[in-house]
Amino acid sequence: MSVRDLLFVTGMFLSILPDFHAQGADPKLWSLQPVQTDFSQKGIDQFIAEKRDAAGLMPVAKAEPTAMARRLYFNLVGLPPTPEQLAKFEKDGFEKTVDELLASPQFGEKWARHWLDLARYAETNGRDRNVVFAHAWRYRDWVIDSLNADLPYDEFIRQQVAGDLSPDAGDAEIVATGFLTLGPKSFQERDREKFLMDMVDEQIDVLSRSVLGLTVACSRCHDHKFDPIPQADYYALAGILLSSETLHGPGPLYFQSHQHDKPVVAIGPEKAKLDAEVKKWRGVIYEKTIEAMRLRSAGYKIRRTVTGALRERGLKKPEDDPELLKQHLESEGMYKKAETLMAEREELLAAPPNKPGYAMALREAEKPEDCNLREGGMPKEHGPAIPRGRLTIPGLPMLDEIGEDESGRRQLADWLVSEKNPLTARVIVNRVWHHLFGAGLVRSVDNFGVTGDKATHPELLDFLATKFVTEDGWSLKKLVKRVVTSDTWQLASSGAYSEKASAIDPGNSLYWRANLRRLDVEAFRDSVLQISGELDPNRPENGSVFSNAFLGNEYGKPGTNRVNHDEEIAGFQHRTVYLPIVRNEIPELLKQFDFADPNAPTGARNARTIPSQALYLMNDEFVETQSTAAANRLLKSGPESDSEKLDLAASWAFAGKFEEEVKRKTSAYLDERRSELVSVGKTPEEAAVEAWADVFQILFSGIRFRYLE
Amino acid sequence: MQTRRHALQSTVHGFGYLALAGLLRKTAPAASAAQSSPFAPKRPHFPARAKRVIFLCMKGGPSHMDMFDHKPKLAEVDGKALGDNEKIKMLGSLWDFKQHGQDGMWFSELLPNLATRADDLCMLHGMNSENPEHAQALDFLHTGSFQFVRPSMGSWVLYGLGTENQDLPGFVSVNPPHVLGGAKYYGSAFLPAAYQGTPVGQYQKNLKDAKLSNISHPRLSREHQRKRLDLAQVLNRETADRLPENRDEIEGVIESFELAFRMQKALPEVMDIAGENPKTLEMYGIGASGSDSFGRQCLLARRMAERGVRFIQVNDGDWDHHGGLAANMPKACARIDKPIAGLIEDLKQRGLFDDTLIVWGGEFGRTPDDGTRDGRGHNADGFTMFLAGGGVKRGFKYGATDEYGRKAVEGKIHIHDLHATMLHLLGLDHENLTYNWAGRDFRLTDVHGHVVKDILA
Repeated sequence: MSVRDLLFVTGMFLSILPDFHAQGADPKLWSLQPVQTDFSQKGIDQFIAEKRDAAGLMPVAKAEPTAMARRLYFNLVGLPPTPEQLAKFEKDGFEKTVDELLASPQFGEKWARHWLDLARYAETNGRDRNVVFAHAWRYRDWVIDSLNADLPYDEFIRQQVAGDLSPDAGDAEIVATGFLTLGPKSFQERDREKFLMDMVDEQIDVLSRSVLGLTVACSRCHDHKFDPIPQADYYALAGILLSSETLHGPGPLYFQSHQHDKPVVAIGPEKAKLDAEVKKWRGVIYEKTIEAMRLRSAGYKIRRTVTGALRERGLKKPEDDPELLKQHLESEGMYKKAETLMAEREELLAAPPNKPGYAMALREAEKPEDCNLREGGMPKEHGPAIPRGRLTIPGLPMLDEIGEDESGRRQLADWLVSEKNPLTARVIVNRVWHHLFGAGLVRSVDNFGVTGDKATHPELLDFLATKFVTEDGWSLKKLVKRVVTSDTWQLASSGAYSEKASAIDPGNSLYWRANLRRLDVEAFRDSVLQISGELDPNRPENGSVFSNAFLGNEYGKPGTNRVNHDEEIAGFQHRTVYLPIVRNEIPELLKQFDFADPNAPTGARNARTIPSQALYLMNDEFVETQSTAAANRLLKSGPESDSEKLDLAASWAFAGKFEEEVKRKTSAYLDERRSELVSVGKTPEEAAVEAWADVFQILFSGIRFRYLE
Repeated sequence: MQTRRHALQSTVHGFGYLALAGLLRKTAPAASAAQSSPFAPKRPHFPARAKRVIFLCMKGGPSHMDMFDHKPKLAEVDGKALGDNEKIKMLGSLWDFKQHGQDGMWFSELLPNLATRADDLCMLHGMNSENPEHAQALDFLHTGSFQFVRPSMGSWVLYGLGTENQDLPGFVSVNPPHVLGGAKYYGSAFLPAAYQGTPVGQYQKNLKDAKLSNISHPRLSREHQRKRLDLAQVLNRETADRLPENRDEIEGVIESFELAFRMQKALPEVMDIAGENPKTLEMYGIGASGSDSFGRQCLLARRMAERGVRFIQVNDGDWDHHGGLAANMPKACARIDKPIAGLIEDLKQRGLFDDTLIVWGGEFGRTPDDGTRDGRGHNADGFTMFLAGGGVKRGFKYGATDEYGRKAVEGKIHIHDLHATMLHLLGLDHENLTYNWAGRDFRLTDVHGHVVKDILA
């Protein structure tokens, strides 16, 4: 290729680049225009090829089968293929494997995490009182189960917004409404009105960003600065949410009461009976506690009077005066009674009755009301009442009429997933594309507004949205299959023509190759555990380590308000999606590797490369322990020779083989390390484990393992 | 300097890292030392007035008319609604102002220590930015763009100049916020990953409690750890060779391991202030309840500056005073007043002040009026920042806002101009510090920015 060719191609490319330099407001926001439904192209590859060809770019070849298997496994189930699964993949072929993986329960565990990022899922409140949300895990499991059951996306959203209002609502539909209850709240806020306005603000933010890709919460104080979202629309939504009750807990097993508490809902078999028993039990404990506190305080008062009188009169002990003795005995009696009551309380606490399940949920408020607009977003500055659900964003449909005695959540849910709403389908297909390719067709996955990016392939986005709704019935599994079976998804990450193409399109926005992507922290941790043989594929017993924190206390040991969450979860062997997430106490591993901050919805995680990640991989106990476990597993079950062992380790770690030179160096390293260790007195067995643990530490920290080609 | 022609030819001749790097950093200054590390110190475009930057970032938007921008007229109209909305009333500053230093620089009574340093400061009253929303304005302040993900200024500086201490990160952000843009504020966007900033400490948590997680191995000797890392890098380089398209990213990972290895020794040393003179600690307000945390951050900045770290950002939050101005503004000022005065004094004593550029400011300032009577709104049209140290005039005030402090009217400096001037002081031409990506040369200042010559010493 000559320089002239390259310049020529560059010029052509520039002429078809999407106009991503455009500044300022868009009079007709693209994402609010109707979804195009008529296409001459037949599939993903045609849309991609048209733009790629126009730039004079050739795609690289298809990925090698092992690379393909690894990519497929990680993208669909978040785990690496075992050597047996690799062999099966080669026998069964691509499509059959896709179907099997989509049907496996691990699919939901992998894909639920993407939605949980958007739902800012956590098991504590964060903010000012880090109250444990002991029942949040039910929502997490509902998301996993729903994805595994391939609940159509419109229904998936509808249930989360208004599941409790569907005619045949059961426990699952109630649990689903936990979505809007999980946010961080300012429980210390004294002003109830401000508390509610802030809570609703957070709900509007999560709902609008996750489902619509719009930042509606920007309109709390004024009309949106960029997007056509009037301030009144914000309050039209706020009215709906304020006309619903957010049952965020912590009760009914919580023993202190705060003005903002809203008891969670009982679910499961015999819920009414069991809940009544729990409430009775709690009531007895409560009464005993109150009485004990009263007695202690009264006893203390008397005790103080007695000691005061003794000092005043120069006496030594109460026995020196009959009246004082009487008072003294009375006070001692009170203390003793209190002690008995507290002991009884402890006994009761230790033997709770069978409890029902509980769920954080939404329900209709007793008196639905329109919300007044607030001038400048100030809770106390009441403007005119805005009719619930009267949304006027141009391009979006109207909500169905809302009756006087209903909140409007049902209508809101229908509106969100209406086929006339151009945003919802576009936003979700783009999210799926983002997770499968590492970048969305619209790069700003949570912002389809004016300040967001435009689609690099707008027609393809509409094509996918149309197929998703009309042909695939909002099935996420079918959407995933449609994308991964395209040639575009199956390209190698490197190959011929790369040099030329790299110079023209280094960001790969024309899809001439596959992106190199770092594994999500969940996939990293789960893979390490799978390779070390320590992964427990089951769900944690009772849902979560917090499910028995039935006192609903603030996170932390009583009195200290702080525990080391990293220590608490050391030894946790379930998949990472089940790790209890404590707001503001994110485990070190997750924090280092760009877990989504659960204080706000996140559609696209960061991908930082910073030295503290390297420090984690070089020094952290988790990596050390798991490397040793993997070494033991390899030495016990593996083949005899170092060479075969290395082949197996490479297959575990990256579904591939060591390059010859690397393998030679690794063998030499093993030899040297073993004899070194034996020379300082280790047995050959110990030396072998330690040397192989080094190899696994190297593999686990290596790019080939942590990145997906 | 490499020409485009050379660069393009080199891609044809093979795709070593240097060739690719050469292509991409077409107009970055040439590295003076071995080119193998992206952090090697590089010669600037022209002689620099400052070697390093300490950026004291006040997230939230500090109220300039309660700190530096004295507005007697505002006090006169206190309580009056001058606009259409009768609820939005003017609010005079609650604090007394006095002039300090030879140039008669104004300081409110909330900043008694900083006021003693008036003759060291270059006060900029005519600052203005693009957008009065936190998320956008913070993006803009850090990256020069509020619409797109762009490299942060520290990354640009590290890319342009490399760094002088290969054992510490060249760009550090102390207690960076994780909210709003978060990692973007020290991110490298399309610049190679190696130029990303390294966060130290946690937002709004005392640096005293910052733990250096995993800074050493509990068991292994340094020699053995080195051997193990060598083998790991053999494996990583093999991947880098196989995937030339991703070489920059992979080199970034490889480099991060090397830096991490060196940091194991250097970082605990720089973070450990046990050897500091008690007088020095006192000077920074360390030990005093209100200023302890920010004092520690400033002291760490000096320790890093001393050791050759190129760009040090020190973060403070809680400047978004919509309400509770009377109660919270004194606290916020007390948090930073002594530490910053101490930092300047300390840098001077150590001879570092002359080639260190201190930049102080937030993403915007605040409005002279508000509906609450105890707070102020966001104002990107006029606010105050100050510079101090390497290459800027001292005891000098520049620019002005209107009589109420609402709009910059004189000596206006846009954030793009601030970026251009900062780069200029570091010896970098903001129009020539470019990076070619996706078919276009990008700059920190986009197509804008003027060096503010009036404030150069």
